[in-house]
Amino acid sequence: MNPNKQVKSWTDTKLVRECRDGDGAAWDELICRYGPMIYGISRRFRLTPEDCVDVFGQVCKILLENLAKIKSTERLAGYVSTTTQRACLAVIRDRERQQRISQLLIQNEPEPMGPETDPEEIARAALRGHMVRRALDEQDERCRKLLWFLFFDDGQPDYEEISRRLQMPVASIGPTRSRCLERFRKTLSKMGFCEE
Amino acid sequence: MIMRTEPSLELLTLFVRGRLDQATMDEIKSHLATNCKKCEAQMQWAKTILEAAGNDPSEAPPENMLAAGRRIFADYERRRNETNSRIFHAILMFDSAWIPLPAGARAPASGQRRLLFAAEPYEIDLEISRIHRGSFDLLGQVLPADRLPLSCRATLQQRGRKTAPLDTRGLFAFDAVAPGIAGLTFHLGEQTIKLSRVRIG
Repeated sequence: MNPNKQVKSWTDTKLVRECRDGDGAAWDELICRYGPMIYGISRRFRLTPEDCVDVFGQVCKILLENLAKIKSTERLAGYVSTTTQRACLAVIRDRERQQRISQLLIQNEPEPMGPETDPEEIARAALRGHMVRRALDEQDERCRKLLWFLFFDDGQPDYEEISRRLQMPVASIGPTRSRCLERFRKTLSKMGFCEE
Repeated sequence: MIMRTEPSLELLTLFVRGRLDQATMDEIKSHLATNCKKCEAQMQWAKTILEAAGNDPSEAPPENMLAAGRRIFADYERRRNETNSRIFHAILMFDSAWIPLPAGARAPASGQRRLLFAAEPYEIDLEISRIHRGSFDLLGQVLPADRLPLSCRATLQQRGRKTAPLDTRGLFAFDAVAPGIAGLTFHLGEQTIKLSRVRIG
């Protein structure tokens, strides 16, 4: 198996273990896997591009320094989303402090900062979205496509179209997709999705 | 018209998405009106998935951000490796293969060999036993165990890498080890001890 493909299939637990051992490929996969969540949360907090980079760097450093201490690597996603939320709030508090000082000096109207919605809700939404994506990634290719067509494809292909695209008999699509749904539910349940 | 059988999760998902013909939609609505708890729960689950995906703020980060993340790791590893006082190379103090057998005596059939390494403040006791031709068990103990931090582990590097945890007595084991030269690394909290070129077999 291509080493890059192998790393992509590693669980978070294995990735953390390999990162602790200094495996650069494992770290690369970790930041690619969680980068969208970290960046997305920062953007939703309405941080500047420079602040988003700072937050990303902060979260990376905190993750590295605490890899050995993370007790529940199966719930790494929750740890990353909370850490990112805190890093964003720290940036906002810092900026607000600077703006208060500027206001005293220049009497400027403050620019709006911070998220439009509850910060905790942003982190929670990012975490849940991440879990759905990861659970989908962990299915085999056929299941992934069948579930994609069901949940996310706006074109909503019918069975005939699915049969053509996936080279599957029409009669087997329903039963196969039911099995895929069951596996998808179990994967999400293991990640703690319903508990969030 | 009321459905004779419960709709599948697949059908309920399509119902939530509004992707069924009107007749089927009406049938499912009638069924849900009978207060079917199972179908209600499944429908809620499908809605939850769709909401989770729809509300997900995740966004692909720009490449410069990922590059910054890689640099942070490289810097971290370099600082870790530069802390030489925390990486020790253990010294071989004793090897049972050094003891010559009396003339005419045969080596034990078990093919057992004992080695003792030292890396202050620890000693590492290894026992290599032949299981059958081409396979060995490696048992060991890191002492004194009461000075070991939590969550220690040993890594065996041969063709590939295996890891074994140390228990509270400092004991660890690797089974079915191939003959040849192996490296052992002990991760003991802040300290790393390396045993290079341990001959197996």
